[in-house]
Amino acid sequence: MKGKKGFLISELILVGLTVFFLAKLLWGNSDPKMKEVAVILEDSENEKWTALKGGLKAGASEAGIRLNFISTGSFESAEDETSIVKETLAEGTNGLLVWPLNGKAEKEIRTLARRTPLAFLGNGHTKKVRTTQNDSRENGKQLAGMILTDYSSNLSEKHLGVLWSNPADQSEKELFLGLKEGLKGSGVTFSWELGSASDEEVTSKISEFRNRTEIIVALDDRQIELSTQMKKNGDLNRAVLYGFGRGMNAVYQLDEGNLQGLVFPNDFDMGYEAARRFTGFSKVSLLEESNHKIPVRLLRMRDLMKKENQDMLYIISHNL
Amino acid sequence: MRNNRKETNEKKQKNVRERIKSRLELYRERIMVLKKSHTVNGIQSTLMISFSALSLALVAILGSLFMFRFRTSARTTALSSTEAILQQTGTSLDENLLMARRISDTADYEVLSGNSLSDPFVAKNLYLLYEANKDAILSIALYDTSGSLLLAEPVAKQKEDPDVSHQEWFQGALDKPESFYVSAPHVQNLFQDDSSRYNWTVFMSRVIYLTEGDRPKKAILLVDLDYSRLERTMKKINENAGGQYYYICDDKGNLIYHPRQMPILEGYEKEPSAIFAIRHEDGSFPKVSLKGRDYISIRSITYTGWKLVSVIPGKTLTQNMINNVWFLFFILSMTSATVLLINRIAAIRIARPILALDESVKSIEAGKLDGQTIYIGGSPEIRHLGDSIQKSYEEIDRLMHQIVEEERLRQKSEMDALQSQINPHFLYNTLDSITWMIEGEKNEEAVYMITQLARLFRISLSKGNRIISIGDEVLHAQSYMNIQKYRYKDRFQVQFHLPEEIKTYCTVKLILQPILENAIYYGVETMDGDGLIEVSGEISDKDIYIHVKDNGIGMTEETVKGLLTGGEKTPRHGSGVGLKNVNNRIRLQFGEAYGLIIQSEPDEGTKVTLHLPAIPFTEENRKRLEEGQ
Repeated sequence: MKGKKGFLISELILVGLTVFFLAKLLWGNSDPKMKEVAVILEDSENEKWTALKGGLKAGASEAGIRLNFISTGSFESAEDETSIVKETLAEGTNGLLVWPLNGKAEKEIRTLARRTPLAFLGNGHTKKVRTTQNDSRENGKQLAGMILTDYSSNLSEKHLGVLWSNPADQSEKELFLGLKEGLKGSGVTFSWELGSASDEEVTSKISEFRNRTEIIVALDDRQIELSTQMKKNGDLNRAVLYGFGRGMNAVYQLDEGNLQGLVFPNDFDMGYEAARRFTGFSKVSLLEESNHKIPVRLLRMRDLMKKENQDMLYIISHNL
Repeated sequence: MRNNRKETNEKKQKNVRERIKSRLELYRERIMVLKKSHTVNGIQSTLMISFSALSLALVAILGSLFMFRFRTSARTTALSSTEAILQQTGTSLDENLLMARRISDTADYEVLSGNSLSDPFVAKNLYLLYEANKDAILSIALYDTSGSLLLAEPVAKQKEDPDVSHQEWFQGALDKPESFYVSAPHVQNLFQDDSSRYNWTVFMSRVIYLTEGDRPKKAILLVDLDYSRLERTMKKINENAGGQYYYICDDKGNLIYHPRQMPILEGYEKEPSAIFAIRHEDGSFPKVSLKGRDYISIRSITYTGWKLVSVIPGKTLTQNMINNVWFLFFILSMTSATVLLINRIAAIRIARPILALDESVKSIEAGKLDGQTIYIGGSPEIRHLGDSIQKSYEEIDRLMHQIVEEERLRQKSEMDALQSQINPHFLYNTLDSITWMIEGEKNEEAVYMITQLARLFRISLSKGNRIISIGDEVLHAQSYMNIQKYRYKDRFQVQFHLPEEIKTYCTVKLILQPILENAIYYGVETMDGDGLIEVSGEISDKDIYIHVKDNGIGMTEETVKGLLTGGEKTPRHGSGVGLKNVNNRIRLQFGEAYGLIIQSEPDEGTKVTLHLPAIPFTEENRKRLEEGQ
């Protein structure tokens, strides 16, 4: 009886092991389904996001997640953005990575995605959901610094115009404020500013003021493109262009001599850091304070092709 | 007080000793119980355990060997496959570079050499050369030693102040005028691109000599290789490589191409194997790292000093093997389960007949004999064993019955013999004779008769012993005959001629008297005074013969034959103990070789011979014989 009991126990163990190993064989090694994080960027196909997307993808690979870049156009308002967020959540996603247009959009998105792991890119407005951001206000100051350097800090009798695409965009606002702060006391006059204007409006405005404008600052890639085109066409007279851009075109315009100086944030770094936050989908990692500063390059044409800038050029010229 | 304390201590010590002793006893008993419970029971368990242990050991050894072999084979296969890919890709890259070199050579020797730059032939053929190879190259350009552009195809606007003379490719070519200089990949920054894009390129530059006037003029010929071609090739081999990856580094360990180039450029990741690669020749090498044992395969790219490197992380090899490991374990566990089951069945099948045989033997040993037979089944050997045991038990059974029967017969014969001694007729007649003697005041004769009768009965009883001396047996017979002579008023004579020596041997009691009784009743009764009964004896070798001979009426041969074989019916006369009884008792006691021999002739007489073994009568022999030894 004892022998029979021992045999039954041994046989059960072996059969159990057989079933276990068979299960491992059939299902054990299949790649676990990767969690998906939806990424929402305004005008998602714009080439200015190349570096950011490259960083996001590299960081996602490190974090073991899959990214779903939601196709979007321009956001006229916070509602445009939040409606995209709602649709994305309705379709289902494991996580959300959003570049909020402004504070209002950020608040609404936080409410909508309260049950979904969420992180922000770009400027952050609340402390509750951490953002991997570049400091736009500081970037504006850095841009001001470049201008001051070129003019030996003496901008008296100089007139400056500012081009920005979207007054609703908090980052551009912050850039503008930073620029103003940086140029305070330099004697420069902020003659005009155009935001959310159509290309025709911009052209018309510049044409109107070009004789009285020495410096034009473009606060995003679209305005850089527009203004450099005008410069190439000879429509800017003696106005000198400076810009804040993220895309390859902005760098190229600098390279062609159409821009005098360019503040170029390291979006790859931003994307990498933001995606890595989703490692393990820990709410703690998404919520924890980040001391990480997104580096920024202050580019001049003469320095562009130097060795230290080759990696930046590589990143913006390659789509992963 | 002191004494009391001493006594108390002694008592305590004694109590402690006793408790320890009883505890030890308890442990000993438990150990014995455990030992017994863990004793391997039975042939079935032994068979199963030994078969299973052997099978599982074999399975484990084979499994380990397969695993080891498989691991080695998997690693070898992975490395071979990697080396093949490296070889193929390296050859492709070599060919690309060779092609660029050929383009450069063609530009130099076929187009530029011996021709003036202003010659339309040069421009035309340079254009044709570019057109023929524009899949692989971005441009062909010619610079003078100060960095000024002399020629370019395709014709494109030069960038403002590219500062050619300080660029690495330019300086590199000038430093090594006899050979080609191959640059690291970089952004093409010589010509403007209408698409506003940056193209990555590899420059192949060399010093050439132009024909300008009388003196050859040094110039730098540049072939601009499209990096994206190399990129595509490398992306292709990195696709579906699993955890394995391929990259290219230069002779200083700088990355030319890496699938994780961007995070590496940004400092998020590193490629530690690049330094390893530049320190090793072509081949495959294990590299131990903190994460385990990686395998690095290296193949050099010609002309450039670049190295095409493959990295198989240790965990990738392990991961790839995982499925096979699970498969192997699955096979091992399934085989083990099957082997165990088969062994169990085989053990049961082998052991069952043995166990059944054992059970049936146990039943018989326990005395459950009613209808019980030995199990006969299983293999021929077990069947033979069962059959032999069955026959043995049957034989034992038969012998036991035989012994019981013999004992019964012996007892019956003794009882019969004893019974004859208290035959009422004999006793009545003898007592009647004694009464007449007393009444006739023949006291002496009465005393004599009583004495003889007493002796007769005393020897008959012999304290319950079955074996007595022949001397006593003769006395018994004499007593009987003395009584009978008186009763038969001397109608016959009896003579005892036995050597004294013979009287010291053993015999079964009450064997002479029945023969004498028969001699009287069937021999000399009717003879009127002429009857003679002679009792004699002799020792011959190891045998004793006692003869009882009478000169009576004798018997026919037929009657003689029936005397020892006939039924045990009470004879017409006498005590009722026949010759058959005597013969049986002698044979029962001493064996079939002994007993009665009857010879008779009608009208002549009868001679009955008692054949006995010559066993001296001693207390020891008597006991031995009575115990049946």
